[in-house]
Amino acid sequence: MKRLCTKGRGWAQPRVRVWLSGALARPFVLTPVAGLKGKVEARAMALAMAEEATGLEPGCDVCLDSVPKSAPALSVVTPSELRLEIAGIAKALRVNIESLRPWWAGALGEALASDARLELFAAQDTEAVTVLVAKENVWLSANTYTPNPNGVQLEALVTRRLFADGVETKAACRVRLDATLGNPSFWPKCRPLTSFSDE
Amino acid sequence: MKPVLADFKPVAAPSRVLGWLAVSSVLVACASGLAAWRQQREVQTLRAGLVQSQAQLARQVLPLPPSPIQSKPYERSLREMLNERALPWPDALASLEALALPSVTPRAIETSAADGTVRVELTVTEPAKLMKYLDALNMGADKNANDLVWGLQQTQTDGATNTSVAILVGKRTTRAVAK
Repeated sequence: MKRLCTKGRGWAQPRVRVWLSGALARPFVLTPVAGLKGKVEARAMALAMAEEATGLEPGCDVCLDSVPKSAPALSVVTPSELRLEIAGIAKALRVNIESLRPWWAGALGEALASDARLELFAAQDTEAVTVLVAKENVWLSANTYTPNPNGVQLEALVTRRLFADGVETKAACRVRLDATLGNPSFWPKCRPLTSFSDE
Repeated sequence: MKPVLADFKPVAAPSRVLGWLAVSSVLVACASGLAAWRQQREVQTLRAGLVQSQAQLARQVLPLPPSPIQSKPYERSLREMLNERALPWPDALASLEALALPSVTPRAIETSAADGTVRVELTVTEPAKLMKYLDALNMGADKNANDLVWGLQQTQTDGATNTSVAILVGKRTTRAVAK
């Protein structure tokens, strides 16, 4: 971030997009709950379940993609302290944070832009593996595995999910996220894989 | 599957300078509004007062200028003084002093400047002598136009003591009262 800030500083403050690894932004599926009245209640419920569902320490922030009234909602959890720390660093460096998103979410967006029929998405970054399964826009499961399992274990995990959720192999996408890879057209930089166990 | 749009972007707190600017703007706006409101109220009050004054002015009847006579408050007392002066009280006193009848006693003399008369109250122990007394007073009254002519105005007799109280009125034959 510091390096970015030294570049091109003009009148306006530099704007940066921050990507969080799967270990810092963990998803889980919030199943429908009868009687939920709105976003506030849904958010409170997701916060109550977050630590148990993701294994993060108490004190989290949560983002919901919808209110789980009739269909499950995807909830993403991140530690509150991390968010504050990043905000403090940005303030100290005098930069504007344009976005603070899960890295795997960025990769998923890119993957969906290539193939909208995806039903399983597995993203491995330097710290964790995030596996999302959904059919016809209904979330079935969302998990983060940290620390990173080895390639064989990870491929076995993905295969189990394919069988368990009845997902065809061609509807699955595996990517490895690596900031050192030089592919500027696919940011966050990721590399599609046919299998995690091949490397 | 649908894209995940989760974003934990921290909400940027407004900078201190912007905060002060906003607060001062709000204060200036409030002050301006208050001043405008006060001025408007003042204008409304003045307008109401103007309308009221115009209505009052329209209703008001201007008093007539005081007449020259009324502007002389001493005139009445002057006339009274002149009338008093024109009263024939010296003649009346002279007539009364000149005439003496044992049974007729003058008790009171009263002059009236308004009608120029002199009233004399008498106590008469012999009522028959009252007319003699009156005739004696009027004797020679026709010689001079300014002489007093006396007349009997009122008499009241007490039967027990046979005493009468009479009031005579003396008046000039021609009025010499100043006007």
